[in-house]
Amino acid sequence: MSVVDTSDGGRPGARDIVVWDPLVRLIHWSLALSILLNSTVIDGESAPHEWIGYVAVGLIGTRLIWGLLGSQHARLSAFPPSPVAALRHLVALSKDDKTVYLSHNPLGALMVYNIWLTVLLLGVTGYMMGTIRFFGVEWVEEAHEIAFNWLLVSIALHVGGVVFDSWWSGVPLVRAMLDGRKRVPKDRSVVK
Amino acid sequence: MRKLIIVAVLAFATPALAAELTMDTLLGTTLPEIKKNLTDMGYQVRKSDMEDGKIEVYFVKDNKMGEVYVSEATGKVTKLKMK
Repeated sequence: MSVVDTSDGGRPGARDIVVWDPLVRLIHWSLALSILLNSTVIDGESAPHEWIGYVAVGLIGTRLIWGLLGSQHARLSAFPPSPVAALRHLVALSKDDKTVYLSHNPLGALMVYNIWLTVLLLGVTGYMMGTIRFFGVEWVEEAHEIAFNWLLVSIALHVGGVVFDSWWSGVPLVRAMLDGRKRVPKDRSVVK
Repeated sequence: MRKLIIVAVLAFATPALAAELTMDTLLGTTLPEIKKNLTDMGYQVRKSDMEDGKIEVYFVKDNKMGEVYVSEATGKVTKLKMK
């Protein structure tokens, strides 16, 4: 981990910490783009919808492998899915605890796995819809639709969480996902 | 000789069993009728939808899948999409 004091016009009381490596950022925004395309301009019954869906599944597969091999904060072990930790995080919030997590905070971690699983479910049911066995089978299409609606809810919560946490912790999270650095206010305690 | 008879019978019998769905097929104006006709033609009927006076039926046959749209007014195929 590299810690850099900012001197280039940044908040004097903040330090920039490199957290997200380029692959993490590339996969995040590519996945976001693929979801945006497939849910808006691309016709759900077209071939591009299928290709984009498989690309999204491939991105998550790559990210999971990177979660085993990648940089410190990219590793799955840096943000294990833990409902207990998420609850503890909520309690800490209510006690005005502004600890900064360099990887995802425990609530954010749950959202990451939730979104990945939901997209994988969309990929699986979408693939099934094109097989002889499951073509035109109602429950498969319904599962695809429910997963999609859940994905929309999840993304709204995800964006809401990012906005809230950026305000709460003082770390601009969108910027961190763009340039890889978390600008952490000096007075914050930090969890690696 | 017997073989020849079997071949002859098959040759005559098969087209009736395996009637192909085309744009000229008259399938019927109600969903049960359409389902029955498709089933009789050897199609496996999957889900169906009704929209704007059209009945859409998903089907599978001989490892091929497709969708057929039938006009409720005329019973005729208006669109046939194979995948």
